[in-house]
Amino acid sequence: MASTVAAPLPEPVKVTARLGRPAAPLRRRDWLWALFFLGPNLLLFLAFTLGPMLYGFGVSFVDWNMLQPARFVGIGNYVQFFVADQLTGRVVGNSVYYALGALPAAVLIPLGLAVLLNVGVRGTGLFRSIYFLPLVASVVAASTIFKWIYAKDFGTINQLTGLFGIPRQDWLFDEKLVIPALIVVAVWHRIPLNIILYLAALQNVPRTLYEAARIDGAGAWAQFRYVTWPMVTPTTFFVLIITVINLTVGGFDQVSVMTQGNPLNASNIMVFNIWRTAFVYFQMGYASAMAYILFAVVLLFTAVQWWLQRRWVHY
Amino acid sequence: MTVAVPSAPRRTLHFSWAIVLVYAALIFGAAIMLYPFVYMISTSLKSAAQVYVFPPRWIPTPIVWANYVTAFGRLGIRPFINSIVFTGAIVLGQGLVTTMGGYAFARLKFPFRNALFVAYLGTLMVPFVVVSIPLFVIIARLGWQDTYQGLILPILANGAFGTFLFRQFFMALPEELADAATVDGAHHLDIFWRIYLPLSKPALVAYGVITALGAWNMYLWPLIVLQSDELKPVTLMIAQFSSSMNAQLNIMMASVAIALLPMFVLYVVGQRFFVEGIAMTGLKG
Repeated sequence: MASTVAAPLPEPVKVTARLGRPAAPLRRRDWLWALFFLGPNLLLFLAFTLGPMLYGFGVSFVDWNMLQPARFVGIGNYVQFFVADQLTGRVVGNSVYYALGALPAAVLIPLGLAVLLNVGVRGTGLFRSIYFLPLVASVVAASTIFKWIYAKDFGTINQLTGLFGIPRQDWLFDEKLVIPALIVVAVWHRIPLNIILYLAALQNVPRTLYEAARIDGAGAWAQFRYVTWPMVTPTTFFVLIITVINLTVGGFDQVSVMTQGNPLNASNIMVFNIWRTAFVYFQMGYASAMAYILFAVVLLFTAVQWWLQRRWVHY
Repeated sequence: MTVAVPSAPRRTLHFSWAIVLVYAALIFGAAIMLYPFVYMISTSLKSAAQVYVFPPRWIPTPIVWANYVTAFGRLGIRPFINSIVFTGAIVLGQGLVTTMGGYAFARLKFPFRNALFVAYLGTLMVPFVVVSIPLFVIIARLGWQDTYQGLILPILANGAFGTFLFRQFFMALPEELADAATVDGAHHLDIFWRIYLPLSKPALVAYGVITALGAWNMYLWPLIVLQSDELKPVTLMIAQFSSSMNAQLNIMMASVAIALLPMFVLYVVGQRFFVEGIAMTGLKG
């Protein structure tokens, strides 16, 4: 993976010597130290991560609105999702459209920009700072801004599309346009992250490979196609999977601020539907079941990544 | 190694048209990335009458700086205090808990160590929305809805990834350092505090910056657990403004600009830590 951490150089360290304390008993007291070091962490982990995870799985088998006592329904909630719920097809379709629709642009644009930044022309630093700027904006802030950029009567997108003779659209209130409109924002917000991952990968490509390619007469495109692209394939897989997972799991903030799932559930994606089922309709059991189905999808993506990396990555 | 500085040697391109093309593409990209920010600033400085003009004018005349005063007056200082308390607690708390836990997994021997570590790893893939439902139930049972502890503790506890990260990091440090100190009579707290943490400063700062960014921008959990405006962080207040019908657009954009300011300043001061933090964590979530 591309994650390289600035490796610190070991510096001479002064530790106050305490004489007359042999090292041996210290090893035996290791588990006491472990309790000290790991204790708080473990307590929090059990109470607020692992515990809730298991508890939530249990909740997915009951019917419960938090007011009346929970009623065990077996796999009823899962059956409801896959068989009975009329909304399932719509919501799953929206999620797939949103995630896969954003994916190509969210991977290729950052790759292109990273390659451009890696050329090293004058002013690269400034461009990099600009490209990373969406990092400082929360999804909520970005969505708030874009919500008005998309406004039908005075939004600037309609000004832009007007230049090409396209009539004014009501982007966020049109069943066909709402997901593409959300995708644009998702891609915009995702670009800096993926540029950073690609930049790290590009710097690990040995310069000698480019030199060798140039000696063989390779132009810019050939160098990209036969050196850069194969060398960053592992990163591309990583970026693909982490992006698709983030899009599948994320997207809540965006939908919550920009559309609330409207119009007519045209922008209602899985995460938003789970939140609404749990915290607006208080169907805790059904929402939990859907959450675990989402978790299963994430696990599936991860498994695919492992499998693909074994098979296809050029090292 | 750092990502921030391009190690690419400046090589002179032979064809000037190639450079022109590179610049054209770079400038086009910059225009797209800046577009929403320019819109925000432009709109935030417009008078109420100018906001709803079509086609929109990008340069406001007159420039109404007072919008920022109005926006800050409406937001108040409280959401910022809430955001600072929340972010500070998460960064410091998670920093301490994850480094200590990482040290235990990296350098101490104790029963069930490997099983526990696998349990930590097993939760890494779980999306927060999955945990949010049972967490809400637990917080409600504890009577912690609409409290700071209900807001903070579950997020502070979200440190499995950090623990994993620092475990890896500490394991990469030469063990001889610790051994040598042990011979000199140092105990584990000495080794952790005076050797391992100082050596991890770059990683700590990068992780801290990314954690701060995540906490400052967090929306879902505060939305679930908080009801009263007195406790809501800035991000949640902005979302609330955004959905209220009577919001004036110019005032709202000024509010968003104010809400962005702290992270923008942090970015200007320490861009490289953002970059290193993301390269390090892949920004999960």
